[in-house]
Amino acid sequence: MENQIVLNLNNVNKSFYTINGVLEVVKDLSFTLKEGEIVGIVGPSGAGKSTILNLIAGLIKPTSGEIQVDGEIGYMFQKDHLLEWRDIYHNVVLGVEVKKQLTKENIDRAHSLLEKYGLKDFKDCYPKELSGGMRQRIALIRTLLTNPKVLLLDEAFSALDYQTRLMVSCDVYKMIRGEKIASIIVTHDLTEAISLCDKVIVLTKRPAQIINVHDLEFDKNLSPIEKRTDTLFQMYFDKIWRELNE
Amino acid sequence: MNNPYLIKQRKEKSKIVLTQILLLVFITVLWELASDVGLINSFLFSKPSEIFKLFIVYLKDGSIFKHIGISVLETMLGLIIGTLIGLIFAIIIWWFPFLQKVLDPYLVVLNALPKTALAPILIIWAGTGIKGITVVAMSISLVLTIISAYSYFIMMNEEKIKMIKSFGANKLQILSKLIIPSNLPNIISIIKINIGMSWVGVIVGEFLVSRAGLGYLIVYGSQVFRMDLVMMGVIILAIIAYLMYMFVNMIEIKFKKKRGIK
Repeated sequence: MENQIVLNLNNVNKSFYTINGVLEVVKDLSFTLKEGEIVGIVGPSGAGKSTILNLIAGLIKPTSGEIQVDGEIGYMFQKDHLLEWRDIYHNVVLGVEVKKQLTKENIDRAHSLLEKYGLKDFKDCYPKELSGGMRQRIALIRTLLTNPKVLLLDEAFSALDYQTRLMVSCDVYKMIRGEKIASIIVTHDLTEAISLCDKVIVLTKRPAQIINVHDLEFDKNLSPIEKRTDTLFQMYFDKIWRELNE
Repeated sequence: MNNPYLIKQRKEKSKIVLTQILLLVFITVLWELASDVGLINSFLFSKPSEIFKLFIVYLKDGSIFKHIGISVLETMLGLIIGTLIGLIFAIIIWWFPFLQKVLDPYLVVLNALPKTALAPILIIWAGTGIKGITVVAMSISLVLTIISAYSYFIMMNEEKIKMIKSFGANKLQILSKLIIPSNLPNIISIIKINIGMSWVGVIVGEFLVSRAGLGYLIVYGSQVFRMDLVMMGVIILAIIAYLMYMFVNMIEIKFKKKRGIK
């Protein structure tokens, strides 16, 4: 059960045609994601990390190679993109509404998820009235409601100030761990990747190729904040930092 | 209600309104006195008391309501048809980017052209009376509505579109769940602008061909050199246009409240 593969990338390449010829963005990318696993992708800015997520989400097609996804994909962005004219409840059901799955069951689930994550009292509020951290959690519930097998987080916390960022990333971590959703976290913040993920993939600069994959062996019961003070943390940080700067 | 901040704000507001009323009274009295003592020629400028007397005459035989009614009807028709067709056009060119690129230079030319220049042609085509004048009123707001609504539509945040696409949204859903609702405040401000545009069309149309309406009163008054009639027409026009604007403003405030925007 734990080992079931939900996402498989096999020799994926992606190039774009531009005015200056062909631009290779992703080269020979292969990796897998297992059920419930959290994988971080780090690399220099402009390496093509977002392109990788767009490929997985099916928003763009690979030039060659295969991408197999078992089930739906959920996407979380840097901004929460809540619709300011909808109250919180109607924001939460946007995804299932678009998918035409606004069933009794999903409506009940929307209410119970809001309750579970302490947002029940805000369901009639508008996004403007809530803090950045709450908004990001609501955006996550909106995605969770569509039952994704794989969740993609594209710099999902970088729009928040440092303190909120730590807190929200910790909350989101608990949520995706609790719902057991396999996730890919793309971030330029090494400490965030190390504290949240089971595995960190390090990429070269463009065209993105894998330099190394680190299996992080923290104690399973540590929270992201606790991991930051663990002795292993500094070691992983130094290793990945060196790889990125070679 | 004992909040000192609110009390101060209310005091400030009533002070502004009071001064505004006083200013109006002052100008009216000044106008009246100036023409009484011969400082201005009352034949050219008329005077408030005469304008008011004339208004009572028109009010008593009820003909003022006919003129106001016709002009308001023409303006409303021009406003509604112009805004609706403009929005539909904006949606069509948003939907088909190729069409937008093809039509772009034509829209630019039509927008730069003073639409009042087209009024005589439109009236010949559409006929005189309410029909022709409504078409003129509509034509003035149409092109601007297309151009500004389209430019609002494409200002939509790309990532928001990506967000809704990540849930599998099709183009119709992007339009109905994202583009249209997010642009409702912009559409209201387009309507506000179009009220003024539509009035320009109606007055120009009535100047050209009409037997009733506020524009007719103004142009008729100037032809027979009855400045009281001209002034009355202009003043009523100003009041009606203001009321229409305030009506839309009220809708806007209600709408904003509903969306939780303070």
